[in-house]
Amino acid sequence: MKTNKICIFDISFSYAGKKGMVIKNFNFDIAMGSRTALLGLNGTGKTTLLLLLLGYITPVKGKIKIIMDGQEKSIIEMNGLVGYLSQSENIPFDYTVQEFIMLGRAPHILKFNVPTNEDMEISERIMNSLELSALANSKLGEISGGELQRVRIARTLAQEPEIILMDEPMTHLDIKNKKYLNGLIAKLKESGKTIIYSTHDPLDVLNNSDMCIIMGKNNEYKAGETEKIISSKILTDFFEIPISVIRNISEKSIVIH
Amino acid sequence: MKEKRLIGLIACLILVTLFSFLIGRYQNDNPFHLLTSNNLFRQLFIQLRIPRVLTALLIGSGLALAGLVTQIIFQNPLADGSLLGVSQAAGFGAALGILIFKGNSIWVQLFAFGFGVLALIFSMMISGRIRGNKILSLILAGIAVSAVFSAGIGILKYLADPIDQLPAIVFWLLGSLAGSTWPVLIRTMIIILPIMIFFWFYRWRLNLHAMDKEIAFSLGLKDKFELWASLLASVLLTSSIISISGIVGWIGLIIPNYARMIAGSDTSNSIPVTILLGGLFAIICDDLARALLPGEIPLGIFTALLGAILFIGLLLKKEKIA
Repeated sequence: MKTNKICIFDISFSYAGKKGMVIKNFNFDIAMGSRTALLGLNGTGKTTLLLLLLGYITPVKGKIKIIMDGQEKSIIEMNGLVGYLSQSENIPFDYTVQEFIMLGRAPHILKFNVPTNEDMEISERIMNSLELSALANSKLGEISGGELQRVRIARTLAQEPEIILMDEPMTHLDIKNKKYLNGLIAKLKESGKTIIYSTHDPLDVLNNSDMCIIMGKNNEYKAGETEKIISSKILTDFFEIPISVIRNISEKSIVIH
Repeated sequence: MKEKRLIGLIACLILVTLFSFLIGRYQNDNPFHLLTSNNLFRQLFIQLRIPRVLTALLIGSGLALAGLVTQIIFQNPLADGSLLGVSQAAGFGAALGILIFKGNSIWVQLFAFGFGVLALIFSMMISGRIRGNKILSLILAGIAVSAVFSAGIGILKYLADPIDQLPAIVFWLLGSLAGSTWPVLIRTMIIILPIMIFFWFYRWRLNLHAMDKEIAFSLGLKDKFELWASLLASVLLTSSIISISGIVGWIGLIIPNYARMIAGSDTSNSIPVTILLGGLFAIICDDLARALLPGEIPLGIFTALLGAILFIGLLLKKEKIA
């Protein structure tokens, strides 16, 4: 039985000094251990919702709570257990892959300490599992975009987070890296992690999520199981172009007319 | 590898320090011989030369460390203390001190230090009222504050008595360690050493400040206090050093970049190397300043000259700096 969940109670958010709500009266639960996709066009508040879930910004109204093993926690109490992969990242200094992945261990290292052998082992294990060992001593400036994305994911995993937030992780990836990431998300779910990612591609959602929150203009949203949300009617409504969803036994596809 | 590099650098620093004790402008005789035979030289050696070399070591390592911390916090490899208006404000404070207190050194230092901190507070207050990216707005505020204090320095120079005050101000703005005695050294140590020890223990976690704020937050850097404490510590370092040595530029900009080239970007490796290299560089520059010509040459001239040459080297070596 699954009672562990993230509860979003009627949250609203607007940026200081800006008119209009980015998110308005959102109300749903996300089951822990599931894959949730945030689907929507650009500018519908997907990143804002992820930052709210990270606790980096706080709702102007409403609450986000995490219920784990019968206990209620706030996002802030999940210190270090919420991993965040931003869409792009400013990395002004040329770290090596190994040094950079090690930074993910920060929540487990006391303020005035340096990484221990155990931290080394964990980050090495993660480097291995993401096939990055050969790049360990390469500088970030020397590796490809797809590899950099994998290195950033490795840093997030080195954190050993319970909840992994990813902002458009598939964007800018070539099909090979995209397939790899899709496989990785499925694997992470199997290992019990909660994954919440944003995307603007309904096909990602159809193939790789248990739950979907579709976000539209004017703070409209619908949340529910992917099977129910990804339908021709809802997609056509939210994307304002005619879309058909085809589900066969052998394949699922999205057709844009 | 890492240990060997550090031991090599420490050995190098000790050798240069010892060698620097031996060079100077007091007669062209063997210093070992002078030490045993000449009482005046012994006094000069103990009361002036030793504290001066050690002060150079300390201010160099302090300025380099402050530069590194500033670069990390502002995610900018070309940032340093002058960025927040600290250097110009400290310079203004010192010039004001020279004008009001006729060059009484304690007041000059207090004023330099006080105005340095004041510049940081101004920059923070102004940036707090600018919307958008916090780091960018702090830099913009720093530029404005810096400009205000530069103008202030101009006014003070104009008002200064051209016979004795103006040269004192100019000399001070160019940076010098000419007044370094044991009490000055001890005053320098009291501020620099605790901050250095703090950053030594904080050397790995400082990396987090180089990350984007959302990422750093996710990695557990949630307390704004940690950011401000690090920033304040580096400003304290810069303005207290400027209050002792005058404006000695380029060390904070150039040394951390070379340290990163040698030791990599991870601050747990680059901090020790930055501290050692900074000390080494300042001692060499100060040796030139006091021993190259019969008269004293301002230290800031040499740090700028050698710093700029090293900077060009850096630009030519790396395709990408920022």
